[in-house]
Amino acid sequence: MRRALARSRTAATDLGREPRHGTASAFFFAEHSTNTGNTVLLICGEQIGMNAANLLATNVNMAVVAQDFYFGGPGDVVEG
Amino acid sequence: MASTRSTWPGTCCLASGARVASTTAIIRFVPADDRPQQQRCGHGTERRYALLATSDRQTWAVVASSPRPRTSGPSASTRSGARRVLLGERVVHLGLRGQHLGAPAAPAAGQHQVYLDTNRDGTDDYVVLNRDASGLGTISDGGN
Repeated sequence: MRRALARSRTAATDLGREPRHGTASAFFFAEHSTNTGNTVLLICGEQIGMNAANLLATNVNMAVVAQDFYFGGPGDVVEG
Repeated sequence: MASTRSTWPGTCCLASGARVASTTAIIRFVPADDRPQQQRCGHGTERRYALLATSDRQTWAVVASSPRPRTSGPSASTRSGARRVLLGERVVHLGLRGQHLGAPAAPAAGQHQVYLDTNRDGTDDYVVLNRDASGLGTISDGGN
């Protein structure tokens, strides 16, 4: 059984159709500094199928979900 | 979009009440030539910032960020696997930042899930989330 490392990493999972569906990658740790409530998730563009051609040319929609599962607190969602 | 999210475990426990105080999106464009340097801890070079993500209901702001190591570590990032990333002219970093008022300063206590509809067809294409580093040891770190 794995023990929690108290370190988080940022995972990007493809929700597209098979065979890509469920494919995940994690290039970076998630940033969570001491005494802060902020969490910074970093990914490479290639993890979401993008590259430099999308610079200032591509907009994406996003929705954000927050969960406090450790202490059982409520979460929230910001719909895109 | 909701049906897509239901395929990912954990979101079913979502409750309401707390507030996501702020959610910002960062995108960093790092020239490929800077990539090896960027991969060294704390010695990155960020050339440009640009806002990529937009939302009909949320204003996304660009915030500064500092370079951080890859999960594979500075030594591992120099393996041949990193070359695949260097093939492109530029490497795009997209950072997503969320603050949860009810969450304490414990990285593993809260989870942020960012659903991305990259082609804006109404169906989520990717989900980006933080998860404990001990899980899923087979997940790709970008190397070969």
